[in-house]
Amino acid sequence: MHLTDIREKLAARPDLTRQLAQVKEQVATCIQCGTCSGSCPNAGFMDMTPRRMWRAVLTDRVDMVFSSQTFMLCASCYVCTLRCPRGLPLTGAMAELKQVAFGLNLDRFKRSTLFYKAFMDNIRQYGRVRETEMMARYFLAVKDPRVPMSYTGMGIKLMAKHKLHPHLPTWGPGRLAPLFDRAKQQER
Amino acid sequence: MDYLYYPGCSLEGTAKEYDISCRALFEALEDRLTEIPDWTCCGATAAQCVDPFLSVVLPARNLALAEKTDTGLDVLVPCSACYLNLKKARQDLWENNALRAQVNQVLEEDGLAVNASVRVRHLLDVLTRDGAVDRVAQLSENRMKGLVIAPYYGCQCLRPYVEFDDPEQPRSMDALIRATGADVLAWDMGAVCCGASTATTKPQVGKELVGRILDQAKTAHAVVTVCPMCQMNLERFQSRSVPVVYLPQFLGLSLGMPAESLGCGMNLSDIRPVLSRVAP
Amino acid sequence: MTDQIGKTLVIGGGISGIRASLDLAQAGYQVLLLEQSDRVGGLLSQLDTQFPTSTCGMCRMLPMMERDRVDQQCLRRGLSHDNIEICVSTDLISLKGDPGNFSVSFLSQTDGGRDDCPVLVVDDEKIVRDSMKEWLSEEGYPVQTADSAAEALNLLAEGSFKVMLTDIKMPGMDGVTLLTRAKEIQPDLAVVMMTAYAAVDTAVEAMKQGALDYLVKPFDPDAVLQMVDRIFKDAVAENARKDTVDAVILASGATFFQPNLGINPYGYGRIPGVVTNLEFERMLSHAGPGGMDLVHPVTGRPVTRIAWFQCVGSRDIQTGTPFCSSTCCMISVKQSLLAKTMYPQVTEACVFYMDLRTWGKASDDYARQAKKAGVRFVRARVHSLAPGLKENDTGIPVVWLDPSGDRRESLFDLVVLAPGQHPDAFLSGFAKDQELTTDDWGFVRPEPFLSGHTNRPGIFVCGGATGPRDIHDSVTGASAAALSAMQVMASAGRQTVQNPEKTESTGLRSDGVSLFPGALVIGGGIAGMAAALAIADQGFDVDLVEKTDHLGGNLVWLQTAIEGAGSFLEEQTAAVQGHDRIRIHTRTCVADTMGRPGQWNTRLTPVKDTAENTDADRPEQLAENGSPPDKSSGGKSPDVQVRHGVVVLAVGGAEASPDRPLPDNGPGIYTQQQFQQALDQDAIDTGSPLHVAMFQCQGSREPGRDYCSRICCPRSLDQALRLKAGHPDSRVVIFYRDMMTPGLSESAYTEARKAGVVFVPYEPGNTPELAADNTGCRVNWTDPILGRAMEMAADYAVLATGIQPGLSRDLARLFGADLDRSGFFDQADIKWRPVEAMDPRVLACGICLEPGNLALTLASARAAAAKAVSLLSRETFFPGKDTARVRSAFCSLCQICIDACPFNARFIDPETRTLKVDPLACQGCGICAAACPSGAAVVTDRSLAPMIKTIHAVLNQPL
Repeated sequence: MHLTDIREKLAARPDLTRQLAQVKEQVATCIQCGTCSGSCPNAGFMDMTPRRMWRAVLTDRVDMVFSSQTFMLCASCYVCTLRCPRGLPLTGAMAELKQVAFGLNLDRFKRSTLFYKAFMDNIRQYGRVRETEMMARYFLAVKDPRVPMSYTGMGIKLMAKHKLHPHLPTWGPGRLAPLFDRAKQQER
Repeated sequence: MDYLYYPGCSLEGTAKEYDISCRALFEALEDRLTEIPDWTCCGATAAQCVDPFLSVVLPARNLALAEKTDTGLDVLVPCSACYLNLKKARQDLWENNALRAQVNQVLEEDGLAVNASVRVRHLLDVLTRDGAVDRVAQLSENRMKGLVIAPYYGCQCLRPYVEFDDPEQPRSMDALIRATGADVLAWDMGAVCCGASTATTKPQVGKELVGRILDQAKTAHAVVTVCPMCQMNLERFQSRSVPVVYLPQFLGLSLGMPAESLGCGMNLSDIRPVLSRVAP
Repeated sequence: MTDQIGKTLVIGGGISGIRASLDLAQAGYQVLLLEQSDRVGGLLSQLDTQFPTSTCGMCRMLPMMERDRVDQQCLRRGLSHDNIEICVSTDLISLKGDPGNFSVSFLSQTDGGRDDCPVLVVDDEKIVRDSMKEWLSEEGYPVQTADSAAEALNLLAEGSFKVMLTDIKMPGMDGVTLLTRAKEIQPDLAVVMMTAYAAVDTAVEAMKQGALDYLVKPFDPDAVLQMVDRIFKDAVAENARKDTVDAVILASGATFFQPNLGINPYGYGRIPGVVTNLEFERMLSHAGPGGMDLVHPVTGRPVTRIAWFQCVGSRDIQTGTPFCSSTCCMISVKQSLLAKTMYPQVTEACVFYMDLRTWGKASDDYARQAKKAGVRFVRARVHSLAPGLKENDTGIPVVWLDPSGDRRESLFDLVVLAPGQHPDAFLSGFAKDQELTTDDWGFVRPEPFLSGHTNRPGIFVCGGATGPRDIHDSVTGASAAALSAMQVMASAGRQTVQNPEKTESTGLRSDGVSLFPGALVIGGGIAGMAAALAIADQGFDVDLVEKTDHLGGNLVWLQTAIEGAGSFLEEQTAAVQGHDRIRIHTRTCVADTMGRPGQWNTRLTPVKDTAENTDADRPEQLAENGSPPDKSSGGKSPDVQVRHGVVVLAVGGAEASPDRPLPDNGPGIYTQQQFQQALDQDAIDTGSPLHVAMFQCQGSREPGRDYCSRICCPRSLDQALRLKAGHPDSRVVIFYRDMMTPGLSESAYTEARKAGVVFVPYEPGNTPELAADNTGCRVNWTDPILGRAMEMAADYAVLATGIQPGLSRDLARLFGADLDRSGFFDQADIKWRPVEAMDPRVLACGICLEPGNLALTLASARAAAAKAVSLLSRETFFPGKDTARVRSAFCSLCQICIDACPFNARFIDPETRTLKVDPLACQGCGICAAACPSGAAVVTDRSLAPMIKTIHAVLNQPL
């Protein structure tokens, strides 16, 4: 992802620009001590440590921020938030970066975007998550046969334990649709 | 004591046995759970990622339903992720009047209103602080004697809201486990993250994190959990065969309840070692 | 009433309390010293060594004059002085009144003490019972616990308790019912409810039913102790002793953070090799648990690898400590250096730090010594020692991230935690009772420009009670507080104890010596003015010498930068000029001095080179200063002779000039002072978005000028905040080595980050590149965290070059003092005698003494004045028993002994042309006797023959 692309996309979305500025404000008093990165259980899997992520945010390096997967790997375990000597809401800030990344609709996060979209559609439809149908819709949207394959083993196990129930809708379609629509209106 | 009960979506699907065992255990302990009528999804991780406002509205709807029962009862939540979402929404709505007004305009659509008065509590909070320890001790007759149990708490019932236990060195399950006659494994992985939802999309993460946790549990007869996500990850990424059971399943067994009544056939890990050690 | 002897209450017997007490006692006032613990000496009595001497120097606090009036013994063992009544193991019960008339009551813990105040703790949670028992028992309360209300009622039936702390929510009978039942058994029982989180309503309800108060879980141990202490004090108040004092000095100190409280990420108390730095100090001590060996406290195996963790309960919002504790970095530097040098077995000594706070004039060099000795300094904060990392046979695994984000791991035998300083339980209670103004964290906040004054007249404060303090600042502050107490006693018309020898049955001693009762203060900056005023206010004549034609020194240009400093400077100048005991000599310097120490006769001469006399800080100039030309002896007057018994050097200093060639001195490159002046004169448009790069440590903390000037980091932060306030889009980048914001000044650092100032650390040898041309400045650097080359264009580049002292060696030597290696006044002891030379009659203050801000300058000025006043207050001194004398018949006047004497006690009497000893200055050390080639120098009562016999006896009888 190139700097100009992200800058342009951000410029077109003042709401996300504002949100990114808020993240910067939230972590402004960071002293780069590295406590967050040292305590993060997933730091080893990240392409950039949380510390470097905050530094990139603070020095306005949006190119570095959004070419990273780091915030996608945050498991929301809240250990960094608990330990940060500056008391910064780091887990929340990671979540906000996720929101900005999804909002920018970047290609690199496409699969996660589709997953969450399938999830939200599922809730909108039924009020509760129906895992079987949600996964089916997600697999359809991804259009990559390798993805459903990787979940097959798990699926069979769950099936055997009667945990996957391809049941019929118990509510009418769009159970929470009015609520979702109203929320959309409110947000504007 | 009586509670309002919010099972959450997982407990209708992959964590069915958690739901079954919760209800059975509370019945055995003579506490009444009243399921919140018409409850809906709390938004899980997805809402927070793609729509921050909905991530308040969705839990708020359930809080409003709980308030509507007009019972004044606490809401008991067995799923740590749902617990955190509901709790966070409750805190935010409590502190932020403008947000509450905005959310209420949306909830109007369902004829609901929220004022954030209801208390949200995790299953473990309820079990450790409302007197269950003594009742389990009375009823269990040390049935679990000889077992060594590794209590696994995960993250979100402990953090970021520090309510009932030490967020880094939790101990609340110790008393419950000892009340059954079993011993507690002295380990320090009880509050270490299993990878949670990241493990769904990045299996290699889950595999490594769970591997580290189970490695330290090798001297235990079983790991006990209080969250469907943790349970799923610990069972799914089994590097070695360690039985993993939900806390209410374990407590139920200690009270001599039949395994089927606690959904014990539905666990993905092989829990026969635990079942076979239970005194008849 | 007026012939009454002045008396001051000193609360706390740590080093601050001892220092203040000794200063007052030496001046002839009486002191009542109260100490809660069973000994004086405070925290310092557990430290064997202090930097930079790597020895204990506590006894150097003892008076140099009339030292026979004090037991000349190790201060860690005890203190005694004719004028000080010391009450250890004593609690302050109440304090009421006004300056000149405070009534105080206090109670020894041995009569009707805490052991007569049994406490019952009722809680179903074991951890609560155990921790409460531990805290309260440690404070001397007998504690019993019960895990249920039923058990509690049994205990209450068996024996009586003064206090009961009970949980509300318990299985079986709840706490409120217990309260009612307990009151039936024992109506006078004080009951405190303990409640979790939200259930405060019930607690309030319980108070209606007779509970005294309530505590909310999770508990702060201090709050628990305060609560129980309050109940205890109310109960015992009637047994207390009462006294009346004129002034009060609060020197109750601070307490160390307890690392096992809260989330305890380092497993203190759980992992056997994790110790606090105080515990490690004991391990290092040869009198400690390991004797001569450095061994692991549990395994007993030799320790070879040691890690130090900084900022445990400091700079950590999670522990409620946003401030820096000031001293812990240097404690760890010292411990690591000692461990490495005392024990060759130590192969790995590694200090993990965030900023290495080696502020002040001697610290940075000391840290360099540690590096040279092989101590490793790692800029990283270790997040935890758990979980998954258990101590095993090979050591404690420590994991950290290096700046680039790579994971590093090492094994250590010991992990030494450096816990921060926190306000203690006594302080918060006292501050509340006395309505003292405190800061956000509970430390007492001194009034601006009045070091040691609280908002309550007559109550003064010093040491750890004002915030985290090191020894040096505590000792200085204590003397300043003593001065304030002297002022109160003087204005109440109180007398001092004079010459007790006269009234004793032994009759009049004839060997009394006196000082000339006047002071010479050299330097008319704010330090010199403050010292002169304080001395003159106590009734002594002062000659104030200033090289330039005006008073004020650096504060003249700095006054707009410090809130309220302008009017303060104005007031001080007016007070000095209007004082009938102060003679001001502007455009004047010191020519020479005659007479002997304490009876100096100094010649002042007009400054000759008029081109230089507005430049306050030419080092070659002998002295300084003056006043407006209309008053005083002025510039053109002839030489003046002044007599004085003490001298105060306050010649100041100036901003050091950049010691490296600047890139073409391009436009926009400023020194910090120049930039400040430009800001103050509105020469810089802060209302527009500016790009400013600030460079710390320019020429400082490097060989040549190897000290930290202590003022530049806070000044840069102030400037950065001003730029950010002027225009939020201004981009300010501060390039730093370690941000030196010790103590409460850490908050400015946090504020600056909040405002969006960017901080970039660099190491010497990897300094950012600054280039300039007509278009402006350009800075290139590599960000250590991002690992990327960065660049910025700057409208201004600001160089923080630090302070250069303005004291000349000639002037210092004129009075028998000298300069230290950096050109500052050479203190007798940097920690224990911070404002005086070996000869206590030669004093110094302000930035020629050491680098510091206005508050520190004023503290040192007032401390120097306190020393001067306590010397001048004595009409006659009687020398110590053991002093040197000269057998003139043997003396060849070679003067070797004059150079050898460290106390400036030997001189040639100009009238008789014989060598004389100043009996006041002589400490009887015997160096002169050893140095004298002809046997003319001898020490009274220590003749050679018995000494030799003693040595033989020792050698022949092995111990």
